[in-house]
Amino acid sequence: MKIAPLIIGTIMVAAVLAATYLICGQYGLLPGLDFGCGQYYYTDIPGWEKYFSVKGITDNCPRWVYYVLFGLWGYAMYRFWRWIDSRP
Amino acid sequence: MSTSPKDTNDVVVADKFKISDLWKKEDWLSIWIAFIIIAVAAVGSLSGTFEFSGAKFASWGFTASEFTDPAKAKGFLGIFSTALGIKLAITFAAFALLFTVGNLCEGKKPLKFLLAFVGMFALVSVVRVLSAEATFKHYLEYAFWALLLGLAISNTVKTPEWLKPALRTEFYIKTGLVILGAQVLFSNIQKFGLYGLGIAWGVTPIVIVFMWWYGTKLLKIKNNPLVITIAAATSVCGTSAAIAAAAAAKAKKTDLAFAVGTSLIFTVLMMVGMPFFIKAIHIDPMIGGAWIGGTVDSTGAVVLAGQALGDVGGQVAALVKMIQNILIGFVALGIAIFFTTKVDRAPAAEGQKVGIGEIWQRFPKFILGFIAASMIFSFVMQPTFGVDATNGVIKCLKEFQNWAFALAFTSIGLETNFKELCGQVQGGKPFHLYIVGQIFNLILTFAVVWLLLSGVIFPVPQIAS
Repeated sequence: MKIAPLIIGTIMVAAVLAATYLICGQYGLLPGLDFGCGQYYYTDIPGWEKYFSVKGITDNCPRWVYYVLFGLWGYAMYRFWRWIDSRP
Repeated sequence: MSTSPKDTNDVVVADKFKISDLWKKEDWLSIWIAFIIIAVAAVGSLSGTFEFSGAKFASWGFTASEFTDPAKAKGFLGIFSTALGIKLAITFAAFALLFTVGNLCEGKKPLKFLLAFVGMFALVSVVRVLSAEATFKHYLEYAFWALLLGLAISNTVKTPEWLKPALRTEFYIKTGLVILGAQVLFSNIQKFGLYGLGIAWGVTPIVIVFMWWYGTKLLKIKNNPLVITIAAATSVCGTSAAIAAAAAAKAKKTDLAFAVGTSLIFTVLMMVGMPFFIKAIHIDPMIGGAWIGGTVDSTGAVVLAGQALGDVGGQVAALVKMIQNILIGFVALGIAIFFTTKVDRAPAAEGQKVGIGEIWQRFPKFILGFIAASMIFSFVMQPTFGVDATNGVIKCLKEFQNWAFALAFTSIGLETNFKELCGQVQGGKPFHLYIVGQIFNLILTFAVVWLLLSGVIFPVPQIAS
């Protein structure tokens, strides 16, 4: 008998039971905030502008630097993914 | 999702692109349908002449008073109104018309589809009413109920034949994803400065690649689309990312159901457990918020768990998650290219260079619609009409996207039997992958967050609301 599937199975059953218990007890919710895990994307949250249309932090870094860094890192990681996949 | 190309032996040969594909193929039709909805909603919202938005059921159930304004807490019958009826009629009419025309263009029988769609829409309305119950709305929402109701029907009384023409999972998902693209505002990338970029974009691809390696090389899971769907759900933002990744990788319907179910279970645990743990060991709220933002799957759970740490924790959590929300389209694009050029090729073709033509033939075209919608809203709509006007259009579009996804998940349930779903368990390997991936995500994100926000190396940022 393999031990790994037994451990994973036990964790999963425990996770489902724990999640059910938390949902039934309505744990984790905050008074006045009408959302939770069920709001999958940011626009699902009632009044999402309050949380997302904020100034955030101001820095002097031009926007194009963000786009370049975003593109370079994305490309590097894509090449890394292909390389990892080609290893035996 | 469509059947995996490997299942249909469609591994090497893809149909050559023909101009008629633009009005005959599902990928293109989903783009046009979504863009028609986006255009009508934008014209209505920007001109202020009419409102074109999808129906949304208000929260009901007596426990709602604990979390919302008590005056707004409603019993079941209190959610129905004339205004809701009008919006339901608009939602039904728009989808029935556009998808029926879509079926006609594909050469399918439009009347059979329309009749079936009436039944599907009624069923999905039941799903959305059930998921609006206060407790279910906060924790699970429509994906859970749609799958459950669909599975209950298909595994008991069986899905009626007349309903089957409207079980168009891929069509609904692709359309919903293109509409979702309008909500992916790339201009938000700067809101938490380079800190946010480092936490959200620095960690996410590493977790995806790690989970791919762990799933395919160590656990030897043969179902590659399932691995990438679980990886995207874990590292990006739960259900929404799982939908996009599954569509990009042409995963099976059960792969998506499995990834979403697992993500929902663990999101509940993390939403409750992480703020408790962070407070118990006295982690700084900014670090805790960023940690939550980078690791908890669902965006609603992130903001809620962040708020449990206080205003700073809530705001940082939201900012980090917002950047992850932007990633969906690019992650889906990367997955589509990777699967097109590497995974879905025949073993005999391995090592050969893939031509642009072949990539184009195999590439899931709806991803282009998704990216185009995001680009238009980020770089044309927002600079031209302003943030508030753009947000107004997005609000109108939101429920159309939710209805499209609810239709898709209900279709998945109606087409799936329990035996098939249980087959996904594969000795617990997918669960194993999710758990190990999430632990890796937690450790790596914490390390990056600490490096960037602890003040040891870089100055601690000042947040403005």
